[in-house]
Amino acid sequence: MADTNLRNDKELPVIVRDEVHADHVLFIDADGNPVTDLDMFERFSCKIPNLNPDTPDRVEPDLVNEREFFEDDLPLLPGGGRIRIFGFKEPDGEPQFPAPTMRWVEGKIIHSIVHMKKNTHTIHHHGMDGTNFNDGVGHTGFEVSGSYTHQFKPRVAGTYLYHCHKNTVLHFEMGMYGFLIVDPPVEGAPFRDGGRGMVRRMNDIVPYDVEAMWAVDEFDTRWHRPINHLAGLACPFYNSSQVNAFVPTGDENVGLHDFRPDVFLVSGVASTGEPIADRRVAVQAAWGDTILIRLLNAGYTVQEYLFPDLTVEVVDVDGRPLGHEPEGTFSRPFTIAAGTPFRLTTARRYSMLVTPAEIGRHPFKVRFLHWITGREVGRLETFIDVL
Amino acid sequence: MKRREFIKYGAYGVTVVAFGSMVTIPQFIKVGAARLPNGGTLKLSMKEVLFEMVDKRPVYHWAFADAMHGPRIPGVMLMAREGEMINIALTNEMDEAHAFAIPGVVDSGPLAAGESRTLTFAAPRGGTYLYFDPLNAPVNRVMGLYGAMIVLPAAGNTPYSDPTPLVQGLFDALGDQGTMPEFFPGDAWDPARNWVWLFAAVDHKKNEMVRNLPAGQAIDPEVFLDGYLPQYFLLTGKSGFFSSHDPEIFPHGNIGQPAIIRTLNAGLATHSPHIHGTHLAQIAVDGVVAENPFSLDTWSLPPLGRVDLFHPFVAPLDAFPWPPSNILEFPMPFTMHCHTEMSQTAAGGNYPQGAVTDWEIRSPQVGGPEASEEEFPSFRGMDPAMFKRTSTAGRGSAGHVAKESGHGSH
Ligand SMILES: [Cu+2]
Ligand SMILES: [Cu+2]
Repeated sequence: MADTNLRNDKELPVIVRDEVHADHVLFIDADGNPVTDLDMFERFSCKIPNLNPDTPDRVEPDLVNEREFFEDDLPLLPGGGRIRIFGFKEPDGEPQFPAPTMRWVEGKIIHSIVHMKKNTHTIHHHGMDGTNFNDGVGHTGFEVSGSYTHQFKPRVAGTYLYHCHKNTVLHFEMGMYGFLIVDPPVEGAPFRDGGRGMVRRMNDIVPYDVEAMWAVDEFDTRWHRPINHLAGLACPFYNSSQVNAFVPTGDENVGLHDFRPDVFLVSGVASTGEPIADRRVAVQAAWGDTILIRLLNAGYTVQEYLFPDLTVEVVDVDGRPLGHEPEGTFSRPFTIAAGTPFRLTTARRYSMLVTPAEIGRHPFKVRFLHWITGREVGRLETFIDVL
Repeated sequence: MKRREFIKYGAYGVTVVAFGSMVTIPQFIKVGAARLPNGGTLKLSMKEVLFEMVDKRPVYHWAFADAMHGPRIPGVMLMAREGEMINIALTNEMDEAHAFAIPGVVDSGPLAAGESRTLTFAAPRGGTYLYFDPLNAPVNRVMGLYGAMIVLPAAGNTPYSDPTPLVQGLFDALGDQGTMPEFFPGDAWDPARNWVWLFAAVDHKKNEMVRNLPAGQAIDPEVFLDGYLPQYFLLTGKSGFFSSHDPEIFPHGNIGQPAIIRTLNAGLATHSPHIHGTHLAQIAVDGVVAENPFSLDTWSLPPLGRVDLFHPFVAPLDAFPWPPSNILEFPMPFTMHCHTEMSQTAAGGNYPQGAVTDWEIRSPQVGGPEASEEEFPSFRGMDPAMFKRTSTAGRGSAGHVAKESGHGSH
């Protein structure tokens, strides 16, 4: 008899995973073909349709934006070193990171067009509650092989984002995201990034003088080595005779569960350790100006933010203005007192209003906390200068 | 004392045991939920198991096993109405001390190997609770000894015993055609409409390290946590395709059938769950009813966190036109995934086989009863032929024959 004192000698009951049955017919499709469990599993996991469909119920748009995919080495590292980026750009624009802002207007018919030359990607307009067909998710829809026109009619102004939703763990980290702003339906909208504009506060529309757009992010530079778009997907290994097709487990896997950020950025500007003074990030305002800060956690850490000497009012969470009727009837704007740290996890957004009372430099500090250990893995700082 | 067992238990998602009299407990999640009469006792033991991950890798775990369902991860969901007595007869079938606790409600204290003890406690205030083994924290919990308890309040039309004014206002507005017909067009909240998303993560190498210790020897939590790096991510005991196709995990209903989604985190990762196609109101955090139940599309769920969300089941606010002219777009699925996307992997890749599920608008009709499987078979957006026929108005006689529910969990 084996040493019964060792746990690993015991024979244990097994909690088994559900099966995927290759011969279990779920339904008959329009062409009369049977669709099985295995077909559905493949449809979810790997054999996602690559399509180029017409937009259902297409109407003439009020506003159109176009994006296409690029892959390039951009000088984003501290000190100007280059790093491989997957991104979105305008068809006649230069590659940039983050992707150019989509700027829409409440109540208008929007067409957001994505073009793909090779490979498939998608755009998910995060926070836009459209139909599934316009949602840009492969495993509940399709991936775009040529082009697709997403149609929306944004109901309420607020701060959103857009990003690729294919192999998202990799493509979002590689840079395929940008802000999506819905401005209120007032003269001058859509507004210019960074400048004057109007924002919803409860049932009012109030002006701001300066706009900060802070997408706080990190890179794990190991992930940005020239890398296959499909890295980590089961597809390259797929063998349809094998029901349980997964990428082999073990140390040879691509390691997309293991995120070790080593570069920390706000809106494409990496921290060198000094407070970020780059004018794309640091805010310059005149005394008496009202500043609208759109804050996005675009990374994979828990981000802890601090305004040591400014009290800000949060007027919009995730594109839903607080206290705005009808959808915000049961919410209220809230303040974050000076010196009080607050946290956002991945993809959450706050829109915050502040009118600094004091002339001078008002810091904004970020601590990056590891998503498992909770330990600080980085920090950065920028500021609002009131002149 | 160890029995040799070869029994296999299917991971059929949620199993529920309801305490109390039949009439006071609404149908909850599953028609077949086991019910214990007032004064009945749930037998719950702690035991070693192998738990198959999404890629079928069997990983050593510890599980709560109840007499009706066998070992489960998460353990059987406990369901009760506030104030009713809950009796649990615990037996520790393992070699080291284990316990059962719901912080602030009950704590068995350590049970030595082989020891039994019966816990009796009154169901606390309405809300969502995590039960787990708090010993050698966080090891015993992370090894699989966790589950959820849902308590409905003794009275009222909300999930809570003492709702805040705005939460009470929200639930009063539901189904009230007078005040907010556009935003709450359908029914009041039906307490049967609850779903539970219980997040967890597994580092199979750490579990193997525990297995290789001499029986009865506890691992030092610092050793367990050093280099801890989960490779599997679970949503209510399943991952990827399987959590996305289990109707007990994916919420579903017509427009105008509001629901509560109770999210909990038994693991060690901080999650950032994101729902597509709708915003949700955050109505309670860590057992505290929200003073300001604002809506969000992404929320934060740290280890041991509990966040209750109100799902309005309204027409997608930014869709145009609504409803789409092609009825074949229904049932309309949307994904829900953790946006800290490492949690969407399995074994280091295999996107999207991690902590992900769907939710589904069964039909554009407003209010109950829920559209039937015959009217709207659950292709869940996965019928490739759907895309060939997007210009076809109406479902027609194109030959969609629903053979079964199509959820793939049978
Ligand atoms: Cu992509
Ligand atoms: Cu997103």
